[in-house]
Amino acid sequence: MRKHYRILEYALSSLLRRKYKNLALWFIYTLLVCVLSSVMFLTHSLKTEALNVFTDAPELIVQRLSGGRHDLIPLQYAALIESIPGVASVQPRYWGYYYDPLTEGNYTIMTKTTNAELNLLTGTMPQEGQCAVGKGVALARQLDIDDTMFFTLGSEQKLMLKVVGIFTVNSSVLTNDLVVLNKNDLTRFFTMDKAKATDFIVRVGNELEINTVANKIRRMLPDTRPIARSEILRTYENVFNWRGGMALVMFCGTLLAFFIFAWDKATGLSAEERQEIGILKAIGWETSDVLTLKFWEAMVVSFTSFIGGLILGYVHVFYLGGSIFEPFLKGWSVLLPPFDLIPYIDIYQVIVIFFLTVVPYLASTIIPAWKAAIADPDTIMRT
Amino acid sequence: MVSVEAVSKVYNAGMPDEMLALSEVSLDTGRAEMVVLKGPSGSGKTTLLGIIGCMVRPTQGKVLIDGRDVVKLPERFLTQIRRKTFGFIFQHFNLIPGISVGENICLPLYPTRIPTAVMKDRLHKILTNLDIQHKVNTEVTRLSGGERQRVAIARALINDPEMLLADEPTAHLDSKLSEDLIDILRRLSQQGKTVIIASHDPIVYDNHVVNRIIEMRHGRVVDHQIKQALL
Repeated sequence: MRKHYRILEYALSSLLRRKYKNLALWFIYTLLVCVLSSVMFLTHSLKTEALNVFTDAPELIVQRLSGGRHDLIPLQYAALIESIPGVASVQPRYWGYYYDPLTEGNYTIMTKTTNAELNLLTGTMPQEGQCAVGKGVALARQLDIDDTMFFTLGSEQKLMLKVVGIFTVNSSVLTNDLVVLNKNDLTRFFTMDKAKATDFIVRVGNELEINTVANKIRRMLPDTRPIARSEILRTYENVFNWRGGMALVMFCGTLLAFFIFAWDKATGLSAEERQEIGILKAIGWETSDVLTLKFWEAMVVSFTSFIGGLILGYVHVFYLGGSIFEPFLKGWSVLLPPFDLIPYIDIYQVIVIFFLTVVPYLASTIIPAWKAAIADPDTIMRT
Repeated sequence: MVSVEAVSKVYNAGMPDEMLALSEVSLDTGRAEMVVLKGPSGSGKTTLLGIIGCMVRPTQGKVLIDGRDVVKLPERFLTQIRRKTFGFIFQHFNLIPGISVGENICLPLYPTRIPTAVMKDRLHKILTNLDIQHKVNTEVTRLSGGERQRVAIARALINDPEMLLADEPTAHLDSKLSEDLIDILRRLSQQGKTVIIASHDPIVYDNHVVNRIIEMRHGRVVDHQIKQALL
């Protein structure tokens, strides 16, 4: 222990001797870890939020297609679907999108359905002439309980609703841009046919039968599109993995620069470093002592950079909104009211970053030192 | 104590720049002797010193330390022998820049299990003996040539080795400092340490404190003088 403490102490003084070079290295290294961790934190957080939300989503949604596009579904379809064995219930949903020219944000307008997990931060769920809004909408429109929310679609369609509730920040991807209102208000505002709904939520008694039920619906009503929850989850996962991958591709230049640097280190020591190893060997340091010294030198640089980069990445994503990567990771963020991500960290991703950054640096420091240290001191000092 | 038997050393063997540095050299040293390897540059003094100190492996021949041939020992064992048996004083001092005198001197003890208190005690004694105790916290690049030489001697002594090997120790010193250095080495010899010096400086090889002079040329021993006064 005493030996390791002394060698660590010497490693620190060695790093200080080359402080400008090591500081520059530390800065680049930290930036690299920050970039990698930002992408991973942001992707993972978005994915987790979306997946959390859709875990509570309906098992099966049935939409009607018309000309290959989503159309309103006739309510009489509900009885037909309900008649399929295994279907427990069919519930119509009413929803649509509203572009708010005031805040230049896109809001989701929907009615409250029985199985939607919408937790109110404050207030109550809306009755006719009332609405509850997501945190993002409340912030964008500077709304509070008892304020009035005004919607307009051209000169004819106008709606004034009293705000009676604001949703919690949990599952903010779903509720952030949400406005929940009464069915009558919604159908009137969107001038929807009273005999139609936006889509159906279908509950299936046995989860294993979801795909069978979906196939039966497709056969019975060929103009419909049943979407299972598992399909939505898979789609979200793929979308965010793809976007995360795209972000990494964009920053692979940084990664490449780092690996070139690591390779440059791996292919040789400076004359000064070789001289020092030769002196240490000549005065009685064993090869293992030299490697311990180099290990501590590399560990101090790489581990502090790793921790520093992770902290910077965390602050960047969860406190500064991941402003550098937001546009291509969130994609639709320009349409949404801005929202704060809830911190989710995947320990496996942290391990991946560790292996991508710390391990190559350790190897690129220790391998050339080992190659030098196994030689005779005289040979090391001569070369 | 150290016996070198028919040792040869070829650098870059088989390459276009192959060079024979030592050829069939033999010598013996006893305890508390002060031996000088004398000769011009390129005569093989430094190589022979390196072979004695287990820093260079000979191409052929034997090196016996206390009767044990060390030529074929793995590097790990040679390191232990270097640490326990030899103290090196390099021609260019080879101090580590950027760290203090105290740290430089204690470097050989860092990878050992010697308690810190013992290490500090040894450091204090050596610094006092060499009269550089006031420089303990000074960064080595701020020292004069003579002071650096003393730091190099102190580092060579911190492990309390049986043998001191000095390569051209007066090369960067004036005559006064060279005399002082010889005096320090004489005292160490009197304390029972064997001192082997490679030098082509008359201040060293003509000094009355030297027991033996081995003259080298072109990698061979050409003369071996045992000084009468020390018999």
